[in-house]
Amino acid sequence: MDSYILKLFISGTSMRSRKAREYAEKLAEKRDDITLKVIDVLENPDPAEDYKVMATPTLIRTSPLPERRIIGDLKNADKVIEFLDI
Amino acid sequence: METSKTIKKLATNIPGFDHISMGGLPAGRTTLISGSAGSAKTMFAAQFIIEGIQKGEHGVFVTFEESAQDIRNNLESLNWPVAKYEEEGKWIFVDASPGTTHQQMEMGDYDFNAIQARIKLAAKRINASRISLDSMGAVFNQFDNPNIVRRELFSLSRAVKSLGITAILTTERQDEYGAVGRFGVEEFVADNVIILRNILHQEKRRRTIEILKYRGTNHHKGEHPFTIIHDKGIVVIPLSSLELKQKSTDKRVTSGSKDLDNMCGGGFFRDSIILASGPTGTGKTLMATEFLAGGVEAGDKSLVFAFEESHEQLFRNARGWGIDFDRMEQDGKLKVVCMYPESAGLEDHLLNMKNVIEEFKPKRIAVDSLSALERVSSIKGFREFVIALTSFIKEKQIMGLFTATAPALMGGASITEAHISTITDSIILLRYVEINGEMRRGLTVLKMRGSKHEKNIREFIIDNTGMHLGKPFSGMSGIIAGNALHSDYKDSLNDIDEQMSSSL
Repeated sequence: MDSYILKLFISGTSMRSRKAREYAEKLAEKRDDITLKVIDVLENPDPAEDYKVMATPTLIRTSPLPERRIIGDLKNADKVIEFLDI
Repeated sequence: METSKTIKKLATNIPGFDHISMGGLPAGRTTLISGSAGSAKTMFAAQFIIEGIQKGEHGVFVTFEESAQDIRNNLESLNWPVAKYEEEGKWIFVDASPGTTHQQMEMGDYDFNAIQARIKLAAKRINASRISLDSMGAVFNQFDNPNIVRRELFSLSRAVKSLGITAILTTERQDEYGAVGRFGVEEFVADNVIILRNILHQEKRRRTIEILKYRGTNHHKGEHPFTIIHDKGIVVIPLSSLELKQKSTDKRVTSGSKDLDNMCGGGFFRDSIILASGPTGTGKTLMATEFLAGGVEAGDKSLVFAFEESHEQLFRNARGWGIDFDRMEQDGKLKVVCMYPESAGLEDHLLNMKNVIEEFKPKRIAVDSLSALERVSSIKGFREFVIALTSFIKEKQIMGLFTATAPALMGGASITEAHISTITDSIILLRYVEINGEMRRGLTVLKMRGSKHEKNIREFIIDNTGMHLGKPFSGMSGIIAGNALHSDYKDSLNDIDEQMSSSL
């Protein structure tokens, strides 16, 4: 079984950040093959620098490579799965 | 007028910039630098940080367009040790350039809080006093939704402002003389705006910098030319703000020719600028050669910038006139710099000449000829060049002899003359005089500021001992204008005229 690692960058508790977090956490719960890590850039900015993240929310599939990113509050669930190919 | 509310400035140490800005950039504030493609915005933004580090101020460079690696390489090729400064914790990059290793998609609303957090972190980490963001416009290329980008860039520039650090934001514009910015400058909190231009005019490139506005504090207005020099980067040439504050002296020194000294009331003033103008072959280079040799013999270090002859030609000619340039050069009393005028733009020539002058420290300088430089530039650029050079040498109390070539063989004014005759203190005209089927030469001192001088036109004789001034041409008129006529001849013509008209 393929496994996927997702990293979600958010900033604090803004509406955008909450929405994106809710969605990502729900997705990770449903799927065994997905590991999710949530990073709040306001508290922990270093990873943002490591991954060269400019906007929040940004959801990154870091594994398997090549990387894929979605920027935004992740409105459309199906499209997320499709684009990240997970 | 300084009030307690005047905004303080941070000296940038970018050569010439602190002068035209009367102190530097508004301290603790954000300044927008807007310029067309290739106008040196990135260089200005980088140089701001580099010069700061050399003063002990650390800086952050945020790049939205080129990768940090590309910028690092470009700056290292200018001999700026960015990698070393990074290791030493003095320079830090925030690389927000487009990623090449991933595919990206937008879905819904987003903000730029991540880049804001990264910038804050970087600034704190190295205790930055300077920050550059290059370039705001490039961000639009990274995202699909321009409305969101515009909103977030505005928020970003406010966040940078709130850091209280002196900041530069660069942005693009399209027309050199059009709108300030391409995306609407209002977004970027434009209290302070500087424009960089790279103008193509009559086939020549001219780089200028203009401080469009500084809120709450003064600066010199208008465009100032600048050039880019290896090792130094941007060097601004502050022309319009040059002040006429040269001291003046009564001391006279030799022109190199005793005959000419006599015509000039005893010689040239120590700090004067002399223009020697005449058609080709009338003896200007000889005059310049004697000027230099006379100087060396009188104890002046002499320097010549030759744009029309080679080193060998000059020295050979000098020998033919009994002057030993070789010895003078070997003794370190004479320096000869020969260059093709086409080899560089006028701003570069100017800076090169200034460097040579500062290093060699001559007491007198000859430029042979100015006309050669005039031919390779625009009228405006040439006039600015002459003003900048003459005020530079006057400030150093160096005497200068410039030669200019009049276009017509028999006389008439050269364009060079028309432009710089008001800047020069003394003007000497050389002309051909046709007498009885022979071409002879004449010299006259047209102007000599602050001194009596001979009004005659004397014959100018060249032989193997150099230049000599003979008797004045008497009984002739129209020499300088190029229509030399014996007064007798003219009288006879008048007689014939009268006879003819009375017989009608």
